Amino acid sequence: MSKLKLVEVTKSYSTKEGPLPVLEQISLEVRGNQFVSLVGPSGCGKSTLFNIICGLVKQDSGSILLEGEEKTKPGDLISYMPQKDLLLPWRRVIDNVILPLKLAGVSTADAVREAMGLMDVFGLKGFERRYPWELSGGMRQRAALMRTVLAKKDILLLDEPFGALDAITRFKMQSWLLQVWHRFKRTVLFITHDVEEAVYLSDKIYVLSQRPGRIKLEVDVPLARPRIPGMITGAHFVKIKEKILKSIDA
Amino acid sequence: MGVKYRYPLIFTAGFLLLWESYVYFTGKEKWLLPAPSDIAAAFPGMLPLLVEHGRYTLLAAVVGFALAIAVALLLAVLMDISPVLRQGIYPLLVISQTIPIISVAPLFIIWFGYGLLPKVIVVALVCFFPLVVSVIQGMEAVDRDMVNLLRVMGASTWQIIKEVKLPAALPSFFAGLKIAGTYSIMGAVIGEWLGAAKGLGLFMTRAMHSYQYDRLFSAIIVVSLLSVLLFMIIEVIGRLVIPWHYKKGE
Repeated sequence: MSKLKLVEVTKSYSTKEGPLPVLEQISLEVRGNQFVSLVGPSGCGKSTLFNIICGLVKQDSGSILLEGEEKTKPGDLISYMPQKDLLLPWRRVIDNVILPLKLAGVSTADAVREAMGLMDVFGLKGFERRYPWELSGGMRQRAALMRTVLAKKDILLLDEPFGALDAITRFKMQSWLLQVWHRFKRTVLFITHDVEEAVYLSDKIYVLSQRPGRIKLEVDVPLARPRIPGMITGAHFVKIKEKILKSIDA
Repeated sequence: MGVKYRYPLIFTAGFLLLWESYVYFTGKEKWLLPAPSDIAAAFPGMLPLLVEHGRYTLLAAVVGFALAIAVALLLAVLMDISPVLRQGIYPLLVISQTIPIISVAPLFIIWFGYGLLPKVIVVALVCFFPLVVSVIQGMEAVDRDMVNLLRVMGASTWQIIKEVKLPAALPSFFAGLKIAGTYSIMGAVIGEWLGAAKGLGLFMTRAMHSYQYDRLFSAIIVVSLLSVLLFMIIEVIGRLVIPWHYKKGE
């Protein structure tokens, strides 16, 4: 079943020099429990697309269907994790991750109880009472992801969550994200400019062009699950990666 | 005493020494310009009187300061919620600061008598402007992405103000508090200067009229000490309330 569907979404910003087209006729589909990635060069309008899906920015034309319908409050179904971790510096880790539950009206005691049970899964056990500035970059991203997952929305939009991490931390986080995704069974739309990351994580990949962003290529990734690090050097993996890289260059 | 205090102490001692020798070598009359040693000699005898009057001044300053904080927070939040209020009130706020307090303070005495109230009003008038400006600027400086994130989470306008904008404004608010706090004692003294039954302002006008300038300077010392004390209290509270602001850079 189609969880999230974009039909010919187009957006341009007005500037002094006239309209600046950012997104052109973007159509894509994410089915339930699928992991789908958007790959594209920086400045291709990926973040604008996420803002449109979240309802923060209005598209000029086209429609966004959540479970087959246009929603006035996409936030009811979507949980968004931006590039920056955006943890509130005045809240401790535990208070940060329960924020979406609190906003939804869950009592603090219930929210804390639920979050405490998951601290281990997110590798934050023992750090519940720390402040965000006391955590490493990887831990901050895990806390941000935990907050996103705890919002209990069906669809997770992840905007380059590992973009600012070093290569080793990044690789660990990818494997770990897959475990989390398996465990919580959510639908994921993932933005990245790292082709290998996209192939390793996804069921399906959309390649976006330079601005104005258009869908250049749609690739299925039929690699077996669970994914293991050894797959990255496998012939099938490399072939998919090459196909995407060629499309980006073209 | 750390190295931190070495230069302030040396320069203060140097200044007092210059003053002392100026009075000594020019042979200025004690009633015209008392030397630091004259003031120091008069100070202990003055202390009971200064404490007696200082209590009233401190009370007026603290109550007026508290009133200013309440009004400033309320105005800042209202102006953040409503652009109409913001555009309408801002010029009035600026104009209120161009009115010479000294010219309207006697009116307050006519309207409200010689008691505490007119002093409290003068203090509040002097203090609230830097506070409103600091809160508004702090709220404006909030990370837009944080606000957007909470919006996607379904937060209401008030929840966004409470969870993000006001906490984000705290460092700026505390900068404003330090400025306003040091003004507050001075504001109370001005209020008392123009008519009071008790207070350092009254004590100073009396000393002034009877050419007892060693008394006047003793009162000035108390005013300065009280102002610095308030400043330091605010600084300490700030370190407790906004630890992230102080820790981030370390």
